[in-house]
Amino acid sequence: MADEIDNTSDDPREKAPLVTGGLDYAGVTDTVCNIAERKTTLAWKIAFLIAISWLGILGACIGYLMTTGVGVWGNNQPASWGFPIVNFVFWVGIGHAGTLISAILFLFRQNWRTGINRFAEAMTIFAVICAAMFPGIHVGRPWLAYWLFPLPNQMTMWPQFRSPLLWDVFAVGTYGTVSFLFWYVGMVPDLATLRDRSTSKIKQIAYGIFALGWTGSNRHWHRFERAYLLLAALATPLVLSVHSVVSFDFATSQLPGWHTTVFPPYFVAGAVYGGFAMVLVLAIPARELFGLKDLITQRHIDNMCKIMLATGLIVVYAYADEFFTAWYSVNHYERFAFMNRVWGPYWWGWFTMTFCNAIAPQFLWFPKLRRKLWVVFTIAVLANVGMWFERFEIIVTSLTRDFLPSSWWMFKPTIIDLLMLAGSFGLFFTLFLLFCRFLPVVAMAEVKTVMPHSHAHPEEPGHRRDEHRSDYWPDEHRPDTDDDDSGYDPIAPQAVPAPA
Amino acid sequence: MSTLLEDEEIRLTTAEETPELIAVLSEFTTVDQVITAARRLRIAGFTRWDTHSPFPLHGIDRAMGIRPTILPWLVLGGGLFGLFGALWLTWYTNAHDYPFLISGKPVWSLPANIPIIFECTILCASLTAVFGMLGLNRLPLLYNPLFKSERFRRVTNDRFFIVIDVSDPKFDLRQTPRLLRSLGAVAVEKVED
Amino acid sequence: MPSINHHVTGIEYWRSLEQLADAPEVLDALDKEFPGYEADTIASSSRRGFLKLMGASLALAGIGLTGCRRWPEEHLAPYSSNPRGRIPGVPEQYATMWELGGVASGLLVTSYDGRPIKIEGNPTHPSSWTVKGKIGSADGFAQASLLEMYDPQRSAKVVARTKTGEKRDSTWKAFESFASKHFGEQKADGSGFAILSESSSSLSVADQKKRLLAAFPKAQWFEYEPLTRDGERDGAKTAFGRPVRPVLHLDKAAIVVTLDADLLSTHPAHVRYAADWSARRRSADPSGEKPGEMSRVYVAECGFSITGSVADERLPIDPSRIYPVAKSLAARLGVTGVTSDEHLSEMEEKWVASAAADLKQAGSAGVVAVGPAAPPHAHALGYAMNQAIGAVGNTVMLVEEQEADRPSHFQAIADLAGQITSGKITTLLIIGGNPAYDAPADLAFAKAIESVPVTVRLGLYEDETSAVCKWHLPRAHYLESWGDARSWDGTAGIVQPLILPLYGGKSAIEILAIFSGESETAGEQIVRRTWKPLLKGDDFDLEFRRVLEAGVLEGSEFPAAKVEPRAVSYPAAEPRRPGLYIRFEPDAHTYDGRFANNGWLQETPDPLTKLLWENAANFSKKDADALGVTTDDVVSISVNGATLPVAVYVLVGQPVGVIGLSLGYGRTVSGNIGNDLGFNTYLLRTSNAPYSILAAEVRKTSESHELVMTQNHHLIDSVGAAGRDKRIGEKYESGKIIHEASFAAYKANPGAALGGRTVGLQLFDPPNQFNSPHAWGMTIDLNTCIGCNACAVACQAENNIPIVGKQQCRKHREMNWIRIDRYFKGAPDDPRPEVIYQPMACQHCENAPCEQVCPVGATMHDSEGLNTMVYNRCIGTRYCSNNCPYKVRRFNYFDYHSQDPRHTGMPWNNLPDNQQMETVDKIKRMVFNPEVTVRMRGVMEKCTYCVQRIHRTATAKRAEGKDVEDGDIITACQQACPTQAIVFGNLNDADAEVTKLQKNPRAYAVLDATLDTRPRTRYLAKIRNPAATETAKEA
Repeated sequence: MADEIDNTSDDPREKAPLVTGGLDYAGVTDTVCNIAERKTTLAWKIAFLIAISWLGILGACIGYLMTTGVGVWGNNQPASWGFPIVNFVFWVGIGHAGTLISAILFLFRQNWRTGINRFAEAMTIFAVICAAMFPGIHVGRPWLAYWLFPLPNQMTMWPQFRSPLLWDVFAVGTYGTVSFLFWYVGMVPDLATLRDRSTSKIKQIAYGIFALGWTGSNRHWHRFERAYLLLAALATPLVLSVHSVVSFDFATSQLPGWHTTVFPPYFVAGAVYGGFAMVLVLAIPARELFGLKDLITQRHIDNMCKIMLATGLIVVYAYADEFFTAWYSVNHYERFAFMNRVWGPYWWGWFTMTFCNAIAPQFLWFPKLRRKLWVVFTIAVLANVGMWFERFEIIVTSLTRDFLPSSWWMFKPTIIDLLMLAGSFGLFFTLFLLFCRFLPVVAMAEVKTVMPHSHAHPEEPGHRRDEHRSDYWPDEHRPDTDDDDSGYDPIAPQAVPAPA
Repeated sequence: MSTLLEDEEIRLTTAEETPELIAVLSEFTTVDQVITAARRLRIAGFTRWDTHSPFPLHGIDRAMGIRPTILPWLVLGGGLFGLFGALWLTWYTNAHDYPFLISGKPVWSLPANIPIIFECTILCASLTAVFGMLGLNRLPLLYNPLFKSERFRRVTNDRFFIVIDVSDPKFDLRQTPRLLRSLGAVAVEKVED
Repeated sequence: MPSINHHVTGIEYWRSLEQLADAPEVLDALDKEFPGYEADTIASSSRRGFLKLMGASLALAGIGLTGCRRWPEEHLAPYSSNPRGRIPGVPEQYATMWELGGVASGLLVTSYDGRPIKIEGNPTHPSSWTVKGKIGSADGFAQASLLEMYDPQRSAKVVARTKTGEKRDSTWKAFESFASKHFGEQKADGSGFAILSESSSSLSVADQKKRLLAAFPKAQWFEYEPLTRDGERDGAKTAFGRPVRPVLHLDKAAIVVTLDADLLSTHPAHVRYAADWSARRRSADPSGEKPGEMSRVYVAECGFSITGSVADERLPIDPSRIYPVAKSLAARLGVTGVTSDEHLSEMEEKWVASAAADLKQAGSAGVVAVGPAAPPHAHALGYAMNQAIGAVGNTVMLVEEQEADRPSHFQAIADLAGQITSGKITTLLIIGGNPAYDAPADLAFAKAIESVPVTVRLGLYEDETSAVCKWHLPRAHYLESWGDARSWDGTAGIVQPLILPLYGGKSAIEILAIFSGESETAGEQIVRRTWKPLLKGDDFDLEFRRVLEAGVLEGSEFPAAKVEPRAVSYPAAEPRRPGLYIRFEPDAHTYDGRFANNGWLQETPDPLTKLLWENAANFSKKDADALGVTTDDVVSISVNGATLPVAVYVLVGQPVGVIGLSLGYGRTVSGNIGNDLGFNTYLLRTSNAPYSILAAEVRKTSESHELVMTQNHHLIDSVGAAGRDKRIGEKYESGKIIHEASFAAYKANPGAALGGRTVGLQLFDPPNQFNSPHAWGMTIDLNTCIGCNACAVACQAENNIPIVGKQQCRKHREMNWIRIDRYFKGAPDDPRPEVIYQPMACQHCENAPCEQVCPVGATMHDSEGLNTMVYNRCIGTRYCSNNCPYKVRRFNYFDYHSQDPRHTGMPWNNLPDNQQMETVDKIKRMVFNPEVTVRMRGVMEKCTYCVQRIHRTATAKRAEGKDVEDGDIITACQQACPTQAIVFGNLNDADAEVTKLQKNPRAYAVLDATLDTRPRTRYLAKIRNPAATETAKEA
């Protein structure tokens, strides 16, 4: 990308711009809104057609599943969980980056997040939808899946709250809800922008309804910022809890290879790793497609690569730790589980996983490679493949060979398994393409706050330009200037500053 | 419909006249101007007025004298409700209403229920945060006279506005617009209902 | 009783309910508050009449699972000792008998409102008791014959074929008119009339046969069974000049030596033999101060049988070696006229030496048994050895054979085929059997039958034989008809019907009566007539009723045979010819093919190969390697002309040089369950070498065939093999989940049984002590389990376990609640691997891992320690199965009951809950046990310790104000176990047998030390008694 400005420098003395291409407020607004306002592009149409046809296949598979029974999958006696749960964990993992970027980076005042948080959050929500679908259709009697919720019923039965699966229901449900609120609340001002720019009555009404009548009043902004801050603070532990809870499904059971305390941090790290990989997979084509190069800049990609590298290393550490624990435990079943994972019948899965998650990300050490978008893209794709295989290895190898050799048996996926996996991507991309087409893909209001000329306070001589401070940060504690304007006559012209 | 107010043509409006004037709208182009203006207006003792901007402004709270919101307390309440609600739910359902013997474990033990309690706490707190904010902001409010102004449409794009309500005791149809313009407003117009 | 011209079909069988119900007395009975209960109805009607009304009104009211209420016209004598009349909904048991291959065993059939729903062994019949007077065992075939009776594909109508062979439905009336005319003409002398019957021990059949031959002087009677034991008869002839039957008493035998005799599974008396054998294995435990004692079993065999798998010293050899081994063994025992001039291999030498030594020492407490496949002289040697050690009269009883003068089955059928081809036979009556399918291939019997002008076939199914006969007559199942039979030792009993013929069939004796134009054609009357002379005592009816109730006629054993061994000159064994021997064996699923359409049996794994739904050619590792094949490869085997492609199964321990082929697959006309499964090995069988034959050629082919089995450990990779061996232990050593010791070591130190077992330490006291009066528990004795699968079939019948079908088994979704884990110890090419059977069902852990992970509380503990499964609460997350370290939970991936096992996974666009109501065949439904939920798709299930039996008994006891005592509650698996390896009871009862057994030094719980699951089921370690350790100890 020779034509792009390299804003990836981390020299503290100079502030690298987060918005390039000399855009002003209106420029930002136009760039973003154009995507939703211009005519549908052919590329979008083709992509959407492919995505929605896979969604159709998914629908057909689910229909077949419902009428026939969950036996249409490859699950069998030792391997009661197969692809559906692998996919569930995979998608939940993907769903981590979004809220992580919005919440945690927000609290850490990482301003660069503003360029990507909107569609990272969208990605999160769509991933969670894909994830939530699988347990729902995975149960033997899907029409009774609502028994997982504590609803009063004629059997006067309640859910069994000691079960990690029930923790899942609450964790994923909460995560989905909060992520959605976070996403939507953040989007309200931008929806108002689209409303005010809309050329047709229908658009105006449609966007108007979802904009909730936002006027940009600063009395509103005040509470809005506070709510956003609180949401971020609440979502942060949530992000960390979701995959921890999902990992409890395995950690609290007693299968060799599942029953291990390293799972919660290990799963969260893996989720962030895979999640950021997915953001990159989406961001790199998107910024080309929608001309967002000036908002999603090299710096954004560079930072995400660094996060991938960091979390990837944590994952590698977890892999190593598992083997050490197994060896150190002197527990035959535990040791066997890991020997079997590497050299057993599913060795190819383990090697794929290790290559994609342990070796591939190491290339991100090199700034030069981080600038090469195709390299980054490839590594990101590999990371997603690797994370899927990680879940496959954990679930399948442990189940197919547990304690009693008599019940050992291989798991073979059926065509339905494969179609549903592909179909879940169809669902994901259908939703994502609709989002890109009709909603503000970049948080304009937030981006504007990180633009240099939104901070000038000439009246405050002592005031230092401080862009490392979040612009949503409440103002109480700022070393603010005089309130002492006693005897000031508003009408007196000399006090009136010249219009800029 | 709002019309541009020029110095020369400032006239008193009579009560009979409709549409009724409810506020005066002034447009600014830079953050500095609008913040300065806001401070001035506050010091001048205006009370029923507001500033509008495409993004939240530094120091505007101070400048306008906006009091900290009570939202955090609501959220705390919501969180506590979720916490104790979930605690009660898990105890009532599994230990009191329909206790059963599971894996030789005690009928009730806190650790097994912590994940549920945690999630419920977060959920209730978050819902309170969002709906509390909307409630305090009196949103959704789909009709607003300001929307009648073509000019005001740029409030969500790149312009800044100060709106002073006619019901403000300090409001004076002759003086206020002049004041606003003197503070750097590029345009001042009536907002009528 | 319907007369010959009253034709009842299955359809009318149903319609008749409404007809019955339309009767005015029923209609106003329905108007009454308590239909059928008015005093006058009861007074005026017999018990049956009353039941008819009850049944019809219940059926109309839609109550009762099937609305079935049909009763035989005759008065049945309930087995139960309290004849207080029948209470609807209370199951009752009737004694009867059933025959397999001409030898009967006693049964006890549970009937629920007129539907037989469960078959068990008769505790008062010597052929089937395991705890005399308390528990009787029936093998898998006998139990599964229940499903056969309800098979909707059983022949339901008379079928006639025209000369051109096109088939049309006919009626009994049509056949009767034909028969009276045709046989009326024949009566004159009956020349050209031949009867081909399956083997039968029935007195009435013998009587009918006499009468028939009297009516048709020149008629000929032939008897044929594909799996015959005539080898033994020929042996006895060689030894004594006439056939005698050896009856063994293994409970007296300290040393058992068998030469190719599978006493514990394929022998007709195997149930009783297994029970007796187990007594001498269980006694290994020290009783009081006395050290235990244990029998030692030597098995020389040409296949890998159940008996071989539990032998202490096994000698795998090919068929040609049986005789030389027998000869040198006899020589060492000093049998006169036998010189040990045979050259033995090292393995044979060792075996013979130690067997001979032990037999000498044991003397009359030893026994030598020789199998049917052995050559006559080997049998002669066997008898001579028993004489020599003085076993005869103690461990071996020689009794008279039935029909001592008949030719052997293979001679008979060959003779008949010859006569047919020479045109001597004009009328052929075939009773039972399936000769067109299972007659020796060289006779081309199907063609022969077709060439006979008039052929009449009486059969349960319209099978291969019916297809080539002019007339097919539906046969009544033994549960539907009157008859009688004798067990291996000759004890006679009466076969009484449990239900009217579902499809209007007739029994053999009824048909024979029709042919010989008897006046009396009613089954019951025929039987009574036959029994009149047998029963002493002046009141015949009373005596007859006694026999019916007990199901056995005391003291009716065959008389001891007064025989003196003749001097036999024993030829030298001919040297082994190169090449591979083919060895024909009975099939564990279909016996000789007759049970091909029986889903329960198809889905019961073969004890050793664990194959399901098909057979294969068992190869030893050595032979397979030599041929360059392995399991699933297809080889083509040729024997004089015939060539058969068959899939290879590499069976550890299969004798080198022998291909094991099980008979009974490759059926083409058996019904949609049994058609086109496996390989029809009869094509290679010839009348001159029916047991084993040298293969002309065995060639590897390019095809392969994915065999379906429940365990595939010979196919495992090195990592898996290492893990497996660590868990089951090295040969002769304990592992992590299997514990075993040699008898010598165990005697010296009972602790040795559990090897280096570690005891799990407790961090805290469990919160639940399960102190309710009952704490149900079970022990399973690995030492006496012979892996016969009787428990598995019993469980399937008792608990309404569905048949999932071949494809589902291939995916490994079989449903049996109790599975028998079979482990081989030793290298794949070890000629003498150790085998261990570990029956595995829900362990009912007190800290059940499955419970804490269920999100909807569908599985939880009850106060008596049962790990209960709440089907209607289960939503099917399958997490419980994942977390079960024993993997004993089973999941309904489809609605298996509703679907044809050969085509599972059919979409159903209606409410899932209605599927079974709308699709399960009305007659198939009748086999369901109404006390057990029929599970739908998407729910988990597992062993419940037969909770329905527990509560039925407990409730009954409570009604009497008593508490359950030890032995009141017997689970289905325990009940069926011929060796009493399974014991169930109340662990809070200090005197209960199960409590004592759990204190046994051999008792351990699988994986408890690792996972602290605290299972209620405990295992008793395996004790082996090999000669090797004995000598080692002395040395």
